[in-house]
Amino acid sequence: MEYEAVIGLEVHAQLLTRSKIFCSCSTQFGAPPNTNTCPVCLGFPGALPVLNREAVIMAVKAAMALECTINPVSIFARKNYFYPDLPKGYQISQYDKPLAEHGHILLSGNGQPKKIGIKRVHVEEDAGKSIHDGFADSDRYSYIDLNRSGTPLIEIVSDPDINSPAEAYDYLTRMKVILEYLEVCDGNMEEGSLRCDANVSVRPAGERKLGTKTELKNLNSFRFLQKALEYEIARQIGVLKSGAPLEQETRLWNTAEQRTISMRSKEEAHDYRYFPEPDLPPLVVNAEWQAQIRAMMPELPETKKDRFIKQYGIPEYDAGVLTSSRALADFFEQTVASGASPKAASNWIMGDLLRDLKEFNKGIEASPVKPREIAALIGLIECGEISGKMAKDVFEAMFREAKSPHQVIQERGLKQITNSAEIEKVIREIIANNPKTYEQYRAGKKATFGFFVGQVMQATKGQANPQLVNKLLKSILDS
Amino acid sequence: MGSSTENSAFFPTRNPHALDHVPGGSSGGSAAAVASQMALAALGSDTGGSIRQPASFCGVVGLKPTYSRVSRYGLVAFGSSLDQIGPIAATVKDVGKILGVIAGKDPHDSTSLAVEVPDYLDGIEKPVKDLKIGLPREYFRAGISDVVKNKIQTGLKLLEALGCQMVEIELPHTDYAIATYYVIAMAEASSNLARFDGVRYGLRVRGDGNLSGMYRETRDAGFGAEVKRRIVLGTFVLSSGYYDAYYLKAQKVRTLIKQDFENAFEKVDVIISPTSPTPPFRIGEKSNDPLAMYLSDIFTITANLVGVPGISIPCGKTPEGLPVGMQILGKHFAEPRLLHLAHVFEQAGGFSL
Repeated sequence: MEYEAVIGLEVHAQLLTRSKIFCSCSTQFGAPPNTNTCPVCLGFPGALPVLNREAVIMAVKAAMALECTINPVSIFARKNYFYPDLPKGYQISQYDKPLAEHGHILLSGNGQPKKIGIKRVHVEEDAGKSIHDGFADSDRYSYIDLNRSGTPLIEIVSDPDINSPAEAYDYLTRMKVILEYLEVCDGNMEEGSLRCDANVSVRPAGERKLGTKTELKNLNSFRFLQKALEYEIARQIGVLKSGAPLEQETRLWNTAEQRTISMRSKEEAHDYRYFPEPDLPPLVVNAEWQAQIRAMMPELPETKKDRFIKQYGIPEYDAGVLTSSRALADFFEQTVASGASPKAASNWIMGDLLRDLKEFNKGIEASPVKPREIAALIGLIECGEISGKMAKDVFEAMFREAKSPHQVIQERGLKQITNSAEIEKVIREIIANNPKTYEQYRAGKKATFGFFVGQVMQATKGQANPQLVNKLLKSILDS
Repeated sequence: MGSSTENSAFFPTRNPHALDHVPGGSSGGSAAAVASQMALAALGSDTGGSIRQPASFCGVVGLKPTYSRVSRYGLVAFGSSLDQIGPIAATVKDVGKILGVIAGKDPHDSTSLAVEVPDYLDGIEKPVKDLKIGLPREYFRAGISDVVKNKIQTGLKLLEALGCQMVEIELPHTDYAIATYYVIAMAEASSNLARFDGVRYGLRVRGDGNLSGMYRETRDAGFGAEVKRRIVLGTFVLSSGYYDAYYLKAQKVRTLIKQDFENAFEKVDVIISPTSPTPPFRIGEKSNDPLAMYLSDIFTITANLVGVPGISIPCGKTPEGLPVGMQILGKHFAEPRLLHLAHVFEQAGGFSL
């Protein structure tokens, strides 16, 4: 029997506000433990939360980019559970009246776009961090760092519209790109600023009823998400094929063992006892404020891609690659603005630049070659100063030594020879040294033309202008 | 916590008027300190009557302001949607002066409101004229001890003589107020008290070496019987499967009770009742009967559910010399009117009827 997987993702994204969601403590990552704290985020008795306006703006931006309907009134709720890194004994979140609902994300997939529904986007605070290992007494104690306590988060819950690990991967990638474009989340899964849980079940292909689901946690990289889903889908199909029933449970992805491990069953599931947070009034995002926020929205990937195709006349593929991150798109536009022709700029950026960045494990923001320099390099090729082949070497030096193309050319004496007399002289010497081949050519063996080109380029160390060499060779050989 | 200070973590406070009687609670210490002239004034916190009932038992003036009038920042929360801080003092003027200092918007409390703080003593000496006093039929129906009823009726006669008009009103959802109040207060308390888990604050008992053991034993040792009772009940009413039947239902009834008061305040300016149905009771008399203790809150809890201000003023003493208190409730932010009427009553000798 064929089985079909049904997957829903819950994404938690840390918002890039400077201060926390309910107090004015810094959200800076990596500060010494428990230093970015105050009575509010330490949950002191008597302390009260005050909502950070900027966090709401960022959350609304995200919800708008995900095509959600913004609820003009949403309600904060307490999610009650005991854990040492949750100092109040409850997390302030939203429950039955979230900030936004009914959105979607479009996956381009294999040419066939697929709509993944977004059930809801809500605002909440992060908990602190429990550190269970790395200390001399970690066998007996866990350490708590409350710097993260009160960091603003949005939780984005998808509909169960995802049907494969690859689709889940695409969805999360798309989500990350959108959040980065909005500058509301840095998308760093390693540092935990983007986190993902998955609800997954399987059912016989064609069946409408959903199977018993598993909640997968600890999926803190794109790779783990895909691997854990692949493992879990295979595991569930295996159980069903053996005739055993599936249990509703929460499972953890274990990286070391490359498998999911049961964490708790349905019976052991928490009862969070949600109720409206009495310390905060309802969150009102009225039409006027929504309009203000909408006016602040940056251009989103899809729109930018369409504009690139239209405005710059580059192929759809190029536009897709170039808009895969806001920084890359900006880099491309700056290159064009510096005078480069769009297609040449696209070729250099997608080709040599991205290859070298990947090789040196650098992001586009840290590129040693700046847009202005790529434009200059392209200019030099177009005006014939250097050949396309020489340009490749120039670029390599630009990237590795962080120099301008002019600098590289000057230092290496790479300037293209465009002086006809100089090239003519070289041609005549080569003909003199290769009388036999010359005879063959004259006798009609035109294929030897390439030999002469090669000889000229070799003699000029590749610096002769190839078009000029072609032209001169032809006229001399044929004369 | 509770109406008598008998649940205190330290020891019960005694009533300065009769040392074998309770001073009321939970801010019984504040009221007793003012009544015994150890303090000119004190602050109390009122979740269901904890300023007004001890003020009544101790023969002093206690005001629970409108919810949102005074910041709750720094107050260890019990029932966050009900809690208010307010003054207790020997005279109405002293209460008004202190309210003027503590009232106003606090940027650290999102539920405090930016409503202008008036001079609460302004015009307080003027006579009251044509003030309509609402007497809820349901409050005077039953359960009030005769001695309290007599004293309040004497007080009402004095107010009539001072130019007030008595109007009988209805608060039809009164019967549900106690249940509603305790469901909401206990739900909020169960969550507010979660932070006392031994990880950061207060007591920690090591337990049997694991996390849940530490939680269990810390909370077992650190909380008294009344607090545990409220946490268990509060946890229960918020549990999935029971939430709709208890917590959500209570919130709906709370809205109905609010509407009762809105309707009443269309007809009258203030509502008067006894603060407590009985005079102060003896220490130990009710401590084994939590339900009887909860029922004695009937007149005070509605102000917390509705969010309106209420003041308790002395209204004479029983033959045994135990103070009786009269409660005046007003609309939201009607503190000036409450203080005015209370002051006129005080000046006319109403405190020692």
